[in-house]
Amino acid sequence: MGGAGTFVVARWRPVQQHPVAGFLLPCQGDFMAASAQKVSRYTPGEWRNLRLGLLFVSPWVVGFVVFTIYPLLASLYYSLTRYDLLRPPVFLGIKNYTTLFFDDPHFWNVMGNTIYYVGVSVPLGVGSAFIIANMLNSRVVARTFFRGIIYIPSIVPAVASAMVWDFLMNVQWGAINGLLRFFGLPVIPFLSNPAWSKPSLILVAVWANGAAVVIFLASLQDVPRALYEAATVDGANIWHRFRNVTIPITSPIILFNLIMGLIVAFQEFTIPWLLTQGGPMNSTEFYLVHLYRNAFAYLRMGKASALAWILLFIIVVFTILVFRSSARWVYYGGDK
Amino acid sequence: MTIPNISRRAFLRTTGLVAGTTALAACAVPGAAPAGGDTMASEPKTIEFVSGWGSAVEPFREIAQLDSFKALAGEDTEFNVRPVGLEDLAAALAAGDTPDGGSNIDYPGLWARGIVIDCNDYVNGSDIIDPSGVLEPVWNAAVYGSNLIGVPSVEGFMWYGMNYNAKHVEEVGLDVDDLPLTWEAVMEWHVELSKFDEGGNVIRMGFDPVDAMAAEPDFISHSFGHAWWNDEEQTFHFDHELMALGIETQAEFFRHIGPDNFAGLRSVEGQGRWGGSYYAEVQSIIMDGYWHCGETVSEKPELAPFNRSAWPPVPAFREGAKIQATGAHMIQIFKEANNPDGMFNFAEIMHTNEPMNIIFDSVGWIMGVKSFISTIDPDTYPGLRFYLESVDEVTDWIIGRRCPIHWYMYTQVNELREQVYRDFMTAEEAVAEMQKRAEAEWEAQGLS
Repeated sequence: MGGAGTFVVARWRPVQQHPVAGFLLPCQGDFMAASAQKVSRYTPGEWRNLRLGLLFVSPWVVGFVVFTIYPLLASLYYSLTRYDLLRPPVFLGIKNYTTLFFDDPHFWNVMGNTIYYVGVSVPLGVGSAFIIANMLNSRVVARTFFRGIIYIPSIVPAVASAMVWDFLMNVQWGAINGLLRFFGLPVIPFLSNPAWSKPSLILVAVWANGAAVVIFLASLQDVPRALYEAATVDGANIWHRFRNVTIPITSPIILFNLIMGLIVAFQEFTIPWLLTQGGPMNSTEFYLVHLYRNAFAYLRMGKASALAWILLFIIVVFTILVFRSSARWVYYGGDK
Repeated sequence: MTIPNISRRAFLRTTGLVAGTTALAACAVPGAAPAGGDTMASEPKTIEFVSGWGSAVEPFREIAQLDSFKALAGEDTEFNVRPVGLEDLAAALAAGDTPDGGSNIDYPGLWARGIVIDCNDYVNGSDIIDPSGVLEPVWNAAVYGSNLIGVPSVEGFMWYGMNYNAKHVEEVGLDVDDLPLTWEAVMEWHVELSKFDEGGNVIRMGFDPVDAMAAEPDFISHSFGHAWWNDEEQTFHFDHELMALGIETQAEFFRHIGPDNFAGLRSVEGQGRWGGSYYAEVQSIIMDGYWHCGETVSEKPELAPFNRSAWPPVPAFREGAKIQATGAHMIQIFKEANNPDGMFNFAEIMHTNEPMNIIFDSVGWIMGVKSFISTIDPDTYPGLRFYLESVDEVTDWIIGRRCPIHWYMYTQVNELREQVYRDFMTAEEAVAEMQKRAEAEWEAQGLS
């Protein structure tokens, strides 16, 4: 070994072989080697800059460690304990996890409810947002007005939305059922029948999907006009242009909305809690509602922490699956 | 005036010093006082109290201003009371922000988890509290083995009664002189009192079996002559034919209304809370305690003149049994309390007439102190007379809410009862599942 410089260069050399491109990147390699050499020879001024830099980022680092890393690790520990806040935690190993999977009378029902909700609300939400965005991207009358109207639900506080939907969908005095009754039609027990409760909550979720519409709108406005013109010249009709130009070009945004939708749907809490509190007959007991109930109604912090970690695992798995599938249907221009 | 130049290094050093000093100051022991006994003696004493029932907070504040309390606890005593939910209280206890005491909280649950102290020594040393002057079942509600898990001080009288809206009863032509004393008879009233529109939507329900005390597992089991919890053996007895019969009997009331109609009625804002549908006059009969009379006056004064009270029902095979329950809303003192003596002083003063009157006048609650009960005008609130005059006729007493996982089982019983009245399981399967869940929770909570 011929000193630090030699060591650093030798260490960095494998990086020069690009794992994907499969060819050497001499410039990149030289730059990295040079940078790495510098690390070992900081001048006093650079050390000062480093200290200052660390000092300036320290509020964020401290906040991240105290408010994110510590609670994360603490919840991992608590998930292995029996902890009710009132007494010190008692270590149980993986018992909370095995109890959830094999002995909990609610867990699989909750999983079923959540998968149903995610499986229907996310595709429906993304699909409807995409269609609405396309409609709003065309030359319709009062386009600005409609754009505003579509976005408003996503900025209405969840509690206010819940109150409005409760009023609309109540089986006794709800406005929708009032209309049905007026026309002599049978009423719909939106929130009070187990068969209707989940579709009703999905309806509320899709209604409040204005943010996805706005993101789609922005992406639609970035689709090069030239592509549509070229497609038109080649004889493409409106469906062909939509199918072969609009969807591929906006597919990265569809992926983004799909993943964000998945993450949000798995963690749905506010609207179900306010509208149905998990009922009727546990039909809207979604994952986070169940987690909340375990943590704050039954004070089973250990079990609730285990539920949280299982949820994290589920979301990560679903996200990976969607990312993996994206290789088949997401178009990244020349960078695929 | 010139502005002195300051280098970046000097600036950072100065701000770092200030920040560090501030952090150190923040870490100092709160309330640390300089040496000297005189200074310590002059510090005001503080009592931190929590109440699980928000409506009681203002009366508690009023009581803390009484001269008699100040004479007992000290003129400079500061009394702070705040409403809490279970999760707030648990979080406060976990964070070390322990109040001195609390009321309307999960008494047996907190005792079973070792959070509160045995109050026997305090009570034995008191010149104010006379346990023999308190109704025996009310006092015993706080006795677990040889321990006194709190001081019965806030409320404790008759917890069960069939309260009904006389206006509704008369409207449908029912005879108020022939009150239903059995579940079968209550069902007949339920059918008569429930109203539907042309589309089959319920306008009014006769009786809601999950409102107020009717929702509690104690109520239905006691009415059918059964006890689901054995206090001495600490064992559960849900899986019993009488429990199943009780659940099935209640289910019939839901089926008459229609489960979806029922859920819809309760989901209307305010109608799902305790007594809400009775005050909204969409429920005609409510199983509730004596406090219902006073609360009706404060919740809906125009309804109060029509409020009547009677014996809660029993099944026909137990006809003639006059069931009743009591318990004690007590003041529990936390082990980590900073001022347990002050907290006990507050419990003591609650045994004198002036505070008991404040509580009664403001929220209609009665503390089961015999000398106080004898001073109450039975016509203060419509319906109250029944409770005051029937106390000696009770044939079957229980002390309610004794089980440390009572509130957990309350939710499970309601959940499983819904599965019964929606015909997803039989009552027998439901009580077997209740038993299983109760035993599992008992073990999971580390109470076995």
